[in-house]
Amino acid sequence: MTKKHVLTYILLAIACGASYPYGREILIQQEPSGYITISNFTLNYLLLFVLAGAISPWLSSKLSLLKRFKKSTASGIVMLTLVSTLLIILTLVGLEMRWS
Amino acid sequence: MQAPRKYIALAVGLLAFGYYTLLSAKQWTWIAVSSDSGDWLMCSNWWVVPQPVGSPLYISLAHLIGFFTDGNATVLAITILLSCLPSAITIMLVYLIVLKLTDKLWCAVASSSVLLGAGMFLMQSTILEEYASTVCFVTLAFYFYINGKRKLTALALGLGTAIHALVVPIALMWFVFAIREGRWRLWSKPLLTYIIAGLLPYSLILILMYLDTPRLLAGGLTLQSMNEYFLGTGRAIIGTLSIFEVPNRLLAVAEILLMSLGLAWIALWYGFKKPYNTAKLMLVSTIVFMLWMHVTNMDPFTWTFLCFALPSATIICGLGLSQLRLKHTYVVSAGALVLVLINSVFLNANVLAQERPYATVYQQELMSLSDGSAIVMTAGAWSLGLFYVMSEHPEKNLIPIVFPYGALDDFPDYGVYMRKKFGLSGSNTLELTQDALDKGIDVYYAGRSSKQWRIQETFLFGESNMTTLRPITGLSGVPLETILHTEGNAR
Repeated sequence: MTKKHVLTYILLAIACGASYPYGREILIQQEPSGYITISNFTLNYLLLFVLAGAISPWLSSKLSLLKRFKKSTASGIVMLTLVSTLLIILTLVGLEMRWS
Repeated sequence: MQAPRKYIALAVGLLAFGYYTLLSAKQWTWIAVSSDSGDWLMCSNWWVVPQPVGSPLYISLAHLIGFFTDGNATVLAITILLSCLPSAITIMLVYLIVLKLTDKLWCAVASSSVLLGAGMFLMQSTILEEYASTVCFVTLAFYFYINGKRKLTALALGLGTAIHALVVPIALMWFVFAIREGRWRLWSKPLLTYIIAGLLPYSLILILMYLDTPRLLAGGLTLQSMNEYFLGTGRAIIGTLSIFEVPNRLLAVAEILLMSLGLAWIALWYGFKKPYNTAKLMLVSTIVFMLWMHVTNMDPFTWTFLCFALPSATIICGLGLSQLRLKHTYVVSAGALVLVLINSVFLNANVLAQERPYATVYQQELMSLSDGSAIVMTAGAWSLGLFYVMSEHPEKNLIPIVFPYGALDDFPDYGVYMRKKFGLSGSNTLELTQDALDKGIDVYYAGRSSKQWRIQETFLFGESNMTTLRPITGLSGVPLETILHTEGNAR
């Protein structure tokens, strides 16, 4: 066990102790409290963009037609096309009812 | 397996069972997000469609237990048999799985200790809820998988699915990973086993929809009510967390994971490292899916789904420990045992249920009302609690006016049920309440006096000494539309 490990264990013990009272309150709650923000801009959309952004460079490198463009431009186009298509599909099948 | 190791597995299971049983709530409670318990208890008395999306195996088991027990004995029996016991089996399975994968006794003991010390897992193991049983079957499926028992893997996944539909995506991922290895033919028959054990039981829900059961949580067997029942809730909450709520949600996730896993993070870090075989992919995919499920879900209480990921996380922790020196195993085990002790004081469901007895106070106050009283309440803990009392004491003829049932077009059968069963007419909560008042029925509002529940603004209230119920004397004149279409309104 290295010194780095020992230090990390000490920090983990402190983090565990510090988060315990707050975590406990969450775990023992009985019913919903507070307001819920409802928005069309959800974390899921952001994750979809991140996912599309992550795979688009790889995808664009596979498309020979896009070789003439700079990779960044191609990535952007691929990413936007992917996300837009996905959103349209989700809307069409009724999985995302609030998107308009 | 060597005989002493088998006995240790048994000892781990028995120890966990004793620990969970000791700390379990001994009365009906809503703590640890167990407000659905009213629903399951109703199902122990009545054959009725439960909350979406059905849980056919769980309600069947609850009904079986309800056949032999009554009142608080049912609460206790369901809690111990369907929460404490499955969780203890899960702890034992984690021990056996890590032992099988690493062949290191101390790593197996440390991993099961980490799960035993996880506060999040503890809270779902000591109250009346369906997650402990579901997680047990998923872990059992993984145990069978690593032992090469394909049909039993599919059967266990199927039984888990028959309790909670969220096992479907897990099962799909697992099947895809297994089939990726080029063994499609080997998995075709187990797939059939899965469909029979996991999906076929949901026909019970369709049968209950078809039959003349109380229309409390679902309508009859029509396409509209099936669409609303099976997809409505998921559509409303899954993946719909507003980006503005993300910082708070991430902070909450960090808090409950840090306090639950204690010193196991270094081992987890090593466990997550490559190489990845099919078994490890199954574990990681389960964790990632459940994290996504909770982090993007609008319902802040979906941390309960993270319990699905905890056995996988502790198995990965065991894999990580097997790569580290034995000292790490001792440190992680010691940390877990400290958490086991601390949790027994601060996360003791038995004590917490007595300190915060909203469910039982509500039950007692409902029982003190005159027969035939009507209760207006929001859908959730209070409505499910009332349904339970209605099923336990049908002779009291309590009338449930649930908001927003009837105010929306997605549950028309509720209006028909109210008219036929209780003789009340109205197209929304206010009209039903007014009709009850006009007929001279005593009408009460159930729920705490909180500004969150804006439906209260539509009523005038009389004086009352009760904690959970307030008599409604009339309508205040505030239109229902302003409540229904207000952002942030909880209903």
